[in-house]
This record gives sequence, C-alpha cells and structure tokens, in this order.
Amino acid sequence: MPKRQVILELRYSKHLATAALATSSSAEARIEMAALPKIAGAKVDTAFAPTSMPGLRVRSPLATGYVSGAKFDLATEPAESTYIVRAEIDEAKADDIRGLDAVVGCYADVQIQPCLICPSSPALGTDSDVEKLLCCSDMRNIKMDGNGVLVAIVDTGINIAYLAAHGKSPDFDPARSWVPQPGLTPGSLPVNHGTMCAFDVCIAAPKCTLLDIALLQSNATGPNVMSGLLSDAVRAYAHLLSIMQAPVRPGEARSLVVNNSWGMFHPSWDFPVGDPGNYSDNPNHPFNRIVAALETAGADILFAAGNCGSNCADGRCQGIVSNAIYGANGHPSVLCVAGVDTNKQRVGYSSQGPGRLAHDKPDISGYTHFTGSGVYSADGGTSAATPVVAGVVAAVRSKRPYTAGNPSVSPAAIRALLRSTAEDLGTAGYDLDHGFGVVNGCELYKRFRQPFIIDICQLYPPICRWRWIPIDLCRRYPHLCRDHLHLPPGLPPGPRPNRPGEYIFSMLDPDVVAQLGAVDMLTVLMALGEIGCNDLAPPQGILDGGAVTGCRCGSSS
Amino acid sequence: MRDLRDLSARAFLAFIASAAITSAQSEDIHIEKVMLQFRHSGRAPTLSEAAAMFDLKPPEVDTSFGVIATDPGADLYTILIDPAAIPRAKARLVARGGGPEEGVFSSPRIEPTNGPN
Repeated sequence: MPKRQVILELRYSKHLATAALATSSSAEARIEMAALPKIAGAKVDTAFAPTSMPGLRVRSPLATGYVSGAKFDLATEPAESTYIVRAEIDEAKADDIRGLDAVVGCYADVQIQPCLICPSSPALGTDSDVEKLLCCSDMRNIKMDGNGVLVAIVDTGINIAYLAAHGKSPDFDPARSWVPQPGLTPGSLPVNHGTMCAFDVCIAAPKCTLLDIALLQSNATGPNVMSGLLSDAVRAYAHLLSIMQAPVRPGEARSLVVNNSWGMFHPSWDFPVGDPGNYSDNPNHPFNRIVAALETAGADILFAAGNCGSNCADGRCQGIVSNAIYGANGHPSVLCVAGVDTNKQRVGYSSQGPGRLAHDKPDISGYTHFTGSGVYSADGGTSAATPVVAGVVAAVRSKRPYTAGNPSVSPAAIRALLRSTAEDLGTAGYDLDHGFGVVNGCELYKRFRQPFIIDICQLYPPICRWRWIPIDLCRRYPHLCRDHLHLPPGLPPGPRPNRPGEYIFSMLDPDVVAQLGAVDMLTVLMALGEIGCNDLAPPQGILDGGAVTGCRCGSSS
Repeated sequence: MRDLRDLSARAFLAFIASAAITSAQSEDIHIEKVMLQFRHSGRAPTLSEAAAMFDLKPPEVDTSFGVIATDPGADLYTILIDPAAIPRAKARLVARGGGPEEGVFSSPRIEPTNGPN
C-alpha cells in the first residue's frame, strides 16, 4: 500500500496544547506520544514538534466559515486553536483518518525545493566556497595546481594586473598569446569577461601558465561590444594548433587546456540546418574540423553548454531552449560544461542537452554564479562554470601531462576521468541537465595522491622482480607496458628482443599502482601466477583510503 | 501562415508587432563574409593560388584571414571570402566534385556565455 507524507491538523486537547506550548521555543523538541490522540493508520513523526494554528473568527455573522479574502480575527486561545503534526499514512486510509473526531484535516506534505538560480539572482557563495568544494588545498598539497600546463583563455582578453590585485598570480606567456588585430597587448586588455574566466581557472590551477587568446576583441560588428565572428575563432584555433605542432622545448610538457566560454545563441545567426554551409549541426564546418584537429593534436578543449536553459534562458536565446547546444559547444571532442550553484543545484539558465553534434551533452557540470573575480556582481553563466572545470583539468594535467602517442593521457582519457569521477546529480547516472554530475576535485585528489607505501617487495618478493608479460595483458592494461617505465640496466624499452609478443613491466611503478584498480591488479597477478586464490582465501585489494597499494589472497588488510 | 481574416483588430495589431520584432531580429544577422573550405594535397596553397582555384578577385579574399589549415590531416584549408563571390566559388566546387567537407560555410556571430553583469 503506498505511503504518503501528510500534515495532520488536530483538534484541541489539553495534552496537545501543553505539548505545543512546551516545544514552541525549541527546534529540537520532540513530541510525546502520550500527548496525541490515537490515529489508526498514521505514523506520527515524533521529531516534528506540534505547532499551534490560531483559530479564525469571521467578522460577518452571515459568513458560514473561512472564505479566502473574508475579514476575520485570530482566536489565540488554546481551545480555539488547532495543532499541526507531521505523519506518514497509508494513502488508502486518508479518508478514514479525516473522519476521526480528533482530526480536522489531512493534507499532502509536498516536497519543496529552493528556487533555481536565474540570470538576475544574486550570487550564491564565493570563490572560497568553490575552492573548498573542489578540495583545492588538498590538490595543491600534492602539486595538482596547473604547474607546467598552458591554459588558453579564448575570450575577450585578460588583464594580468587585475588578476594580481585580486590574489591570482599565474604565469603568463605573452609570446604564445594571440590578438586578432594589431594594437592590442595580450595580458593588458580591458577588464571584462575574459579576465573573469582567467580568475576562475586559477581557483583550481593557481600555477598554470595563461595564454591570452583575445578572440572576442575582433572588430566584427554586432549588437554587443563583445560580439565576434566564428571565422575569428578559426584563426585563433589555427594559432593554438601551431603551438601544439611546434617542436617541444627541452624539459617542456606539452599540455594545453583551452577554455571557451562563448557560443552562438540562436539558429537565426547561422545558415539553416540542412544547408551544407551550416555550423550548428555540421561536423564538416571549418570550425568543427579545426576543433577536432586541435584535440587530435593533444589539447583539452572545454566549451560552455550555453545559457539557453528552459527555466530562465538568456534573452539572446529568443525563446529557443531545446537543442540549444550548438556546433562546437557540443562537439564530441570537447568537454561540454553545464552550470550548478554552490548548493549543487543546476542554475536555471544552463543549457540542457542533447547537443547538436553529439547527443550526450553536456558532459559535466561546474560551479557558477558565485562572488569571485569582482568583474561582475557574480561570476555567472556557463561562462564561469567552464573555467572552473578547466582549472581542474589543468590541475590533473600537472600530474598527467600530455604525451603524444600515450592513450592513457590523451584528451579523451582525461575527459573520461573527469566524467567517471564526477559527483552524480539529478537522476542517477548521466542526464541531459547535469551530464555525469558536478566536477569532483576531491575524488580526483584521491586518485592522484601518493599512496601510503607498503613495502610490497618485503611482503611479496616475487612481485617485485622485472618480468616479461604477454602482449594481451599489455593490450588490456596499456599502462603496464609503457616504454618510459624505469627499466633495469641493460634492458631496452618496448617489446622483448626476438619475442615481440612480450613486453617488460614492473608492478612497483607508482603510476601503474595508481592506475590499476584492485580487481585489475588481482587479474594481472593471477594471470602471471604470482597469486592463486580460492574460495577459502578470496582475493583482497590492499587499500589505503581508496588507493590500491597491492593485493593478496586471504583476509583483508 | 495565419489567415489574417480570422484575426480581431487587437490580435491583428499584435500580429503586426510580432512580425516587426521578428524582422528586427533577422536584421541582427551579420554574415558579412563566409568561409570557403577546400581540399588541397601537397604543400599549403598561397592566398593567390587559392583565389585562382576558385576564380576569385583579390578584393574578394580576406588577406588578414589568409589560408588556414583547418584539418591538416585531411588536407583541408579555409579562406574567408565576400558573399558576392559565392556563386563563382560554388561553381568551381561543383566542378571539383568534392565531398561535404568542401564548400561555403557560415561565419555566424558568437558571444560570451556570460551571466549577470
């Protein structure tokens, strides 16, 4: 029989009035069951203190009862009051309960939620709150801070002096920055939207190296001073592609995170869908092609989902709130970012999926609409959510720099990592409002922190010797067989000489340990014959706060 | 299309007003130039070579945009051209018989996805 939460309105009784009076000043008061009349079929919530409701005396003698809008006086005497308690009832017994003498009414106790954040809503929380939500101090402690990572702010330009005055001091690379026309100085552009994005990247990646890609400083005409044209973006991306294709400097890691807090707001700005020259739905459009090319070259590209959410869309959306993630903002090769407030609730203007180029967009949510950079009253829009996530990506790249040819550190692998570690919001699993959930710096920190080292070699000496392993294990766990592992003297990297079906690996490489789950670790060890488990001594992972540090058969560690 | 004979005077005025708004919105479109993407094997073409390929006059090609390799792995290049040159460019594209990745493409307006300001 279905249960339902209800509000029960009860008639006066001496016990009930006394209980209400005794608990009225305490939020933690509990109701004594003895004070309640017997109500069959109702389970009263004793944690909910009874609340008195003053009676009503209608002034007009002709009135037959309470009518909304009629003039009345309050009757504050206990005997004329009624009393509210909270209960769970069998839904089918509601009428029986209403028929009891002691009961005045039985009403639905509906679930309520806070109002959604809309464009005009005041800021909720601060950048410090976002920093805590992302466990940034923990990340910094293990050098997940964006160090050695280029972050391109493709926007209106950034102002480094403003950032410094507001507590953010990232590195800045003017030589690899880009402006669309002569006369503009990268890093010294007017404080505007791009500076807000740069500030928000620095929440999780304070030591990143910013590139100022001042796309929206073009002299394109438009109703907004920050308007640009997509052909400008093609030029900007050609510049970024040249950075990724340039020879790598000695000691330099080639990790590039590209933040894009911009997009197209309405189909009328584009050629119609179906036209071969259309942008929004066409993977062959030059910009969509160059986005794919840049990702293939190793860049982590993030795009804002947009502000055309169904609850309170930006006026520029002109009422189009479905299928409003246009073109590259929903490209399969980018991380598409929705917005949630610091209470982890979707902001009402955040565009919902599906995307036009890939269905499952957005991918993930980021925090937005908080007091942060001071550029605006709130760092808002999916514009702010995107650099918050971009900063987390840059922090991850400090630990997992991009290396060409290594699939475990490819942009696709980093996107998969962010999606798999996200804190699920909304309906279970993926949904078109939040993607896989809100970016979870705390979980990423756990993944990357140095595990507490148990001396596995001492415990299990056979594990610690170098050995050749079959190629099928390499294929299944490619990080086992990476060429750059620290090999013992005299052993060349890569396949075993004359035995190309075998590769060398070491179980003790911390990267391997960190990336292998407990089950995979056991699978490998059992395949290599290092352990043999049975029903009496099942395999157990050796865990330290979620990090796998080894495995063995028998009782858990 | 609505039948105007079914509209009351008040509804007719509202209809005219909404049509005016729609017209104003469509006037916001600033597709001043379009992108021409084409395939070219071998070394990257110069701007004048690209212009010659598509029968374009020098003023019809945006020199500040230049020739951009939009998908180097697929030998795809893009130039920015005046809308007046579209018919000639399309005629050459048809003659080349390329795939959907070759053609004239929009360069729509873009704006920041900013929140309150």
